[in-house]
Amino acid sequence: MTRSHSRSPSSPVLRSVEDLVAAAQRGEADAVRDVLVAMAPTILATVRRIVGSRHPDVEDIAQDAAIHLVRALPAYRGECSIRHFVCRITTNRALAARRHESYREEWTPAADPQVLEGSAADEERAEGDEAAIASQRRRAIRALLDELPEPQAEAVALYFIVGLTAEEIAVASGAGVPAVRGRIRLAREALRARIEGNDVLRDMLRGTA
Amino acid sequence: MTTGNANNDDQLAREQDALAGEIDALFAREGSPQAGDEALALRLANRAVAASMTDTLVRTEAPDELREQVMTAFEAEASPRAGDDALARRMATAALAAASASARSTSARRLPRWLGLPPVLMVLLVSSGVLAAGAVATAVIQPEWWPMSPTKRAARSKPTRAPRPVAAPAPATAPPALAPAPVEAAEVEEAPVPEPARRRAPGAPELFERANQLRRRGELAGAARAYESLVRSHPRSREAALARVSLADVREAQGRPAAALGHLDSYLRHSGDGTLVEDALRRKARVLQSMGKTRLARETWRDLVTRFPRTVYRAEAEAELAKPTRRR
Repeated sequence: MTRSHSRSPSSPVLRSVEDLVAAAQRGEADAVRDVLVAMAPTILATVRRIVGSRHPDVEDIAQDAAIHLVRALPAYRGECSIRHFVCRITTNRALAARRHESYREEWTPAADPQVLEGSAADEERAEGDEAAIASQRRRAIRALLDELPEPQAEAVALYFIVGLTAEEIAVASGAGVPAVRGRIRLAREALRARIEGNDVLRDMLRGTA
Repeated sequence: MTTGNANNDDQLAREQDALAGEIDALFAREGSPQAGDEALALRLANRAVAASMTDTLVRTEAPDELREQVMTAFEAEASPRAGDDALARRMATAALAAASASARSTSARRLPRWLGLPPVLMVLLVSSGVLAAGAVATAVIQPEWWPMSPTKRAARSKPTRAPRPVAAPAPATAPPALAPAPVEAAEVEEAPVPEPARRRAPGAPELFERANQLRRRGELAGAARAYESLVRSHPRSREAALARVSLADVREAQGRPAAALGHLDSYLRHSGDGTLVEDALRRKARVLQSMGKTRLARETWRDLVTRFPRTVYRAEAEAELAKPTRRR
């Protein structure tokens, strides 16, 4: 198993992330910070995938995930890789943020989601046709995340968007593999139904069985 | 004697049989068939077969093309961006501060060892108002610059697990037995606020959230007015301290570095050793650099590394200080 390494600011000696996690769990404050810095790319990539790289709250959501990671670190037992551990925490925080955003858009009169929607459309036009189509696909799939029950939304995000396998999701979440596969199956059905009703997304499936 | 033993054995056997019969009677009803058992048996069988088929399908199916296509569509979103390194350091600093604040507020009994922050820093965190008395155990504790969503704000208004007899409208006072004269006085908002009271006037958190929303939507002028209103109306609140830093961001975004500098200096004057001082010093140095005030910028960088030798911005500061100064 390959081990990722991080150069600790407090020491020129390279330490693996796993070593840093162990040190953090032993009470080394510098190690906690180093773990956070080492995992920040994973956190940012996951948040950007789920809410969009141009979403104004990427940094806020990533920060929220980092805080939750710090709190969850003492409970990490190494059953899954630290990266998968971080992916799951971050995915859940990003999904929660999406749910809160939907709530605010619905119940906060001052908020104008069309402003953001319009700006996203403007950006898509500036990107060019192919990139714009990809953006539309991403937005449609993300909209599905807001509609699914939480376990299925997590399955869609972790399996289809972040790229974990069913077994990895099961280990990271503590759920059984059959349960995770069941959620993926239900999520896949919901995703296919969404794709069938969307011309842009349907193009994604051309050529597949 | 032998006859007596045989009688005892018979007696024991009869008692055992009777006991077994009683036990059978106790549990006989539990195992008896019930109405609906046939339909239940069919459902159980169908589910087991479906689960088995799912397992077989996943193990033997061809590579998931749908998944590959979806992942490909999202791949570009995950690529690193310029500034991610600095963002990572900021996240780490703020997460540690928030976690230590949370640990301090939720458990006065025992601080988790793995935080390992020096006592001086813990005192400063408490005195900065982040750990104001009775902070909600169930709420998410956020770093100072965190925009508070309505959901989190509602969670903060819930009764705390360890309530202290603090009156909601009381003026901010320093927590007892802590560092003297905290500049960022503890705000007293931990007592649950009844719904009618919240409607009377927006509190500092509401104003801060409103200002943040405006800033996120790009309405910089409105955001600036909202932040300034917050500072005027709740000058001692934690949000007012944060608002000064946010104002600096807004002014800088508006192309007004001098105004940004003023707000940063205001924060540094009023916040003492607040948790954003490192970040504010770094921002101040950057603003000064953008204004061409190289000497002052270098002084600020030196101030940062002197006051915070272990700052996450140390490498950045040293790199800037290592640059040759230009002679005009």
